[in-house]
Amino acid sequence: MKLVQTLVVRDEADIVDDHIAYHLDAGVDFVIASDHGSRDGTTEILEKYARDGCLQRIPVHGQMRDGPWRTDMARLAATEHRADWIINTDADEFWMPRGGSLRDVFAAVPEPYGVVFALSRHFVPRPDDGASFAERMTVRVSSPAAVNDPTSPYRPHLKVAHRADPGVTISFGAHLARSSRWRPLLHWHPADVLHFPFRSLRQWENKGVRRARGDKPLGQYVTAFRAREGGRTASRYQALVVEDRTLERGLQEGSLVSDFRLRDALRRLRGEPADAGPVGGEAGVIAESAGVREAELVRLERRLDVLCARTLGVEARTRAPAASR
Amino acid sequence: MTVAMTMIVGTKPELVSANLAFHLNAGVDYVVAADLGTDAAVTDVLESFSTDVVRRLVVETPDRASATELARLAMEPGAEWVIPSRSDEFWWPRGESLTDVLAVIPPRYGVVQGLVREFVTEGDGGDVAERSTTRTSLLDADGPGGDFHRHLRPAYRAGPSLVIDDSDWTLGGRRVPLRAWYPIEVFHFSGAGSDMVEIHGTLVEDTRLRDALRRIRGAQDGAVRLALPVPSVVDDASYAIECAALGEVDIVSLDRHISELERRIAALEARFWPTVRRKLRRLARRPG
Repeated sequence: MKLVQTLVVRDEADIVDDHIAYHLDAGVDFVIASDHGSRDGTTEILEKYARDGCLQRIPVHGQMRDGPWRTDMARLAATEHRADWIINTDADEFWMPRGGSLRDVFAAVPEPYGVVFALSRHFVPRPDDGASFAERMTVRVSSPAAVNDPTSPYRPHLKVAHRADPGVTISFGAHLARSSRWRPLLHWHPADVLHFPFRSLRQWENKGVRRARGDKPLGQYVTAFRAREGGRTASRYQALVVEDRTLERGLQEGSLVSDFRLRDALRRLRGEPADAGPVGGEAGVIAESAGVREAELVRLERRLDVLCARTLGVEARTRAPAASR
Repeated sequence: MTVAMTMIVGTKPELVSANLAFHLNAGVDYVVAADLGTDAAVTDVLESFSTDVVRRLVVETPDRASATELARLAMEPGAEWVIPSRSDEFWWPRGESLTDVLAVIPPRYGVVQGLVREFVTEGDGGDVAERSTTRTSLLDADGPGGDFHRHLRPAYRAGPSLVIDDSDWTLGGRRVPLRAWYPIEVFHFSGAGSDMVEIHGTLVEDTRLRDALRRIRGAQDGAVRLALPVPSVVDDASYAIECAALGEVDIVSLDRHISELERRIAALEARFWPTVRRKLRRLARRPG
């Protein structure tokens, strides 16, 4: 079974080496990376893996085109690299199998199912003491109810993996894959995606400013952009950082949990001793999975609202009486 | 970005004064105030502000028509968002300012809703925010509130089609509401004591407004750019429980929404072919 990983990356030198090393160790056979004009050393890191024969770097330029790039790579994985399964990733995400290796969990999926969803677990920024992100960021969100704030980086969501299909289409952010060949398997998550969106002041600022001008300027990026325009970057980032007092409250209320899985995995990769810590267990997965379902309902209702507004426009043009809800 | 507020002014001058001071320091650029003109002290308060920031209009009865008219007046100088409020309401952004919160709302949404917090009034006289620091919370509420609209107040993205109707906020033209998350809390000081306020859930202490007003009063000439505290991820998680308790979105509402859309599309379809046939007949009758 061949597992290929796709990656869209730009200026993530602080994390991308760990990201690739981790996935190659966790069962990924080959990486296809779209490098969007990186200038911070990311390109050199990708080239190092390319020289080792385990990565294909595709330079991409111009306006961010997240969905089309991911789609191209997923199709390339199917046609050129003879992949069996493909995971679609960002540099700040780490696919952690829920038992065994990544290969094991995908091998367990029976045909005709071929599209599965991993549960994103969002890690929060902690005070910067000079240590690497994985050493510092060992706390993640485990909200009892879905945070449906469209500007929050901590909205519950899923990431998609799929069997190879030369006609597959991947959505923006790789939350969905449309395949005419394979059926989606819902309500079972083969892996957790450990997500480290904001890691330092500088990284938050650079990413926000860049993405606020991209193809889908999410509110979390516009916030960073506006903070820089207003000269408030440091104070605004500080509001994101979870200090010890907030951590204590969050752990007590159950909205934050400690999770050392990535820290320990990276330590083991470096040959250092790693103490396995608590990770929240199956109960946490069930609760957060329920949160994702709630959030999906809200997303559907919001899409329906847009459809209703469009229908209202058609009704007005055809002089139909405007219906009210 | 410019934020305008319309305000139906009550009869308590100290509340009107605190209200204007708070909102003008929390991101509102100007206020169109509908004054019934029945209280000279209130009129004095309104006229103590520059007409650049507070425009006073004398109205006989604040009704729906005047709400829309007020909002349109408020939009005239170029506002991007309009907040229709009353002088006993304080719109508290879950972010540094109202401007900051509204500026990051994705463009597809044209209505955001504020979650109403009923403050319990203790004692009499003086500054109400100093006396009233206890409010309702939906934490531990007994299931979904059902009539969730009672707990929500809308603010609108400005535009020529804006119509404000308390009974149906979707009438704000073709505006799409942001559901299930309420980026503003509306602190309501109705003057009711703990025996009068309807409590779903529990009562909690909340000194945020009191502290902000103290800062404003402490500043020279009352002008201070309030940088309100940005909620932490833990605050947001707790707030998410309250938002969920309202039950605005669930499988039942989704089903109702789809049924409504099906009915409307069926009505459009029923009208489509007769219209096409009528137009074709007209075309066929044309000479040449």
